[in-house]
Amino acid sequence: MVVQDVTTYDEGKKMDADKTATIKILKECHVFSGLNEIELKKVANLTEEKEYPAGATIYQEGAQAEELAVLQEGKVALQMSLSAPGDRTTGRITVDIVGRNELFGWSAMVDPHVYTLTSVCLQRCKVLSIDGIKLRSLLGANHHIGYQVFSEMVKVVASRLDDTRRVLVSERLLLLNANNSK
Amino acid sequence: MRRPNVQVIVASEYPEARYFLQEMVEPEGGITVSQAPDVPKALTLVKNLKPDVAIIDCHLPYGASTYNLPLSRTGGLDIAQIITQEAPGTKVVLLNNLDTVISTDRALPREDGDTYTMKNLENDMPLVIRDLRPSMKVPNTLVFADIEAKPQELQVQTRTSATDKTIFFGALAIVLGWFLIISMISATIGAAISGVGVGAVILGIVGKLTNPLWRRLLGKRLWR
Repeated sequence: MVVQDVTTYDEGKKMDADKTATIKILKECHVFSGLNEIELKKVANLTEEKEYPAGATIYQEGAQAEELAVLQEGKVALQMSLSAPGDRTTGRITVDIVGRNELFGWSAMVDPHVYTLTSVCLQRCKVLSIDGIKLRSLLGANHHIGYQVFSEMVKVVASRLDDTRRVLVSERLLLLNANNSK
Repeated sequence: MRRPNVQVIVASEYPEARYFLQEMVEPEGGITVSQAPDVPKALTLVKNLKPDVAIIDCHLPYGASTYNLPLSRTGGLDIAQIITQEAPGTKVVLLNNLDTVISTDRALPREDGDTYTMKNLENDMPLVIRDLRPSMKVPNTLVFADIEAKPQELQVQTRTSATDKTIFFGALAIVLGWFLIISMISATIGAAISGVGVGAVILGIVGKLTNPLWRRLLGKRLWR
């Protein structure tokens, strides 16, 4: 996986300008929209901007979840691997497509910190990557940030669960329709 | 030597998009294009035809029975991956943002508020494919392509470059020509009037200078 770092936080004015831009991005993401400027600044300190080309895998299902990300530009497909009897992997099914300002990689915040889906870039993507371990520490130390972030993150998890459930139902619908037409 | 026939499948929920893609590849000649509106039909075409190229919208729906489900339009990447695994000879182009250039009423939007129809699509190709990027995992097999609405000024330029420019420069030439003609006529008349004036002035001056001489020659009485 080739990852090109776009910005690393330097010292001085550039850092402040970058932080302001990062805070703006975080504010536009639902998960962090309930935080005030000081809290956002603390989260912004844990972030890093990254760019991925189309087709790149950002997070691999089953891998150790060390970071989560807010999508700034592009589109990311979240895919689930399907296993046939005998543990033979048959392929991957897209369960959701992440758009701008949406968060993905929430597994980094929840035990056992293993990614449950693979995220594949459908086009050139720019993401704001957040260090999962440091964010967990921040959320543990500051309960207001913790409450705000987790209450919004639960919505993301619930939404993904609902998406997956809908895909499963639609698959069954297809099977039923196929059987009825025979 | 006769060129071998190239099999291409285009898969998109939108008939206009399929038509556009077909129009785009067919002029090459020796190409047979088959269309699929969803994943099952695209898979059937791939299995039966073993195409050389598959052009797939990443928001390809899973099937007609699931059109009302918001997440049914996520089959493009899945089928692209299946094709690269099961038909390695097929090159797959995955179009990643057809949905953003095609409105929900399934007509292609224009900036003047009107929409493209099948008829004017024949002359106006409102979409352009750019940024073809090969997949990193399966090089030269799965290609990710951005597709976007052609900028309005580019559309106007391509549509009007041959006709409007000719009319504009023709009209400009007519105006310039008539200006020169009128200028030349005016110059001729002006030159004649000016010549008469110069003659009169010279005659007057000569008359004034020769006044005493005439008096002397012709005598006081005659001159009076």
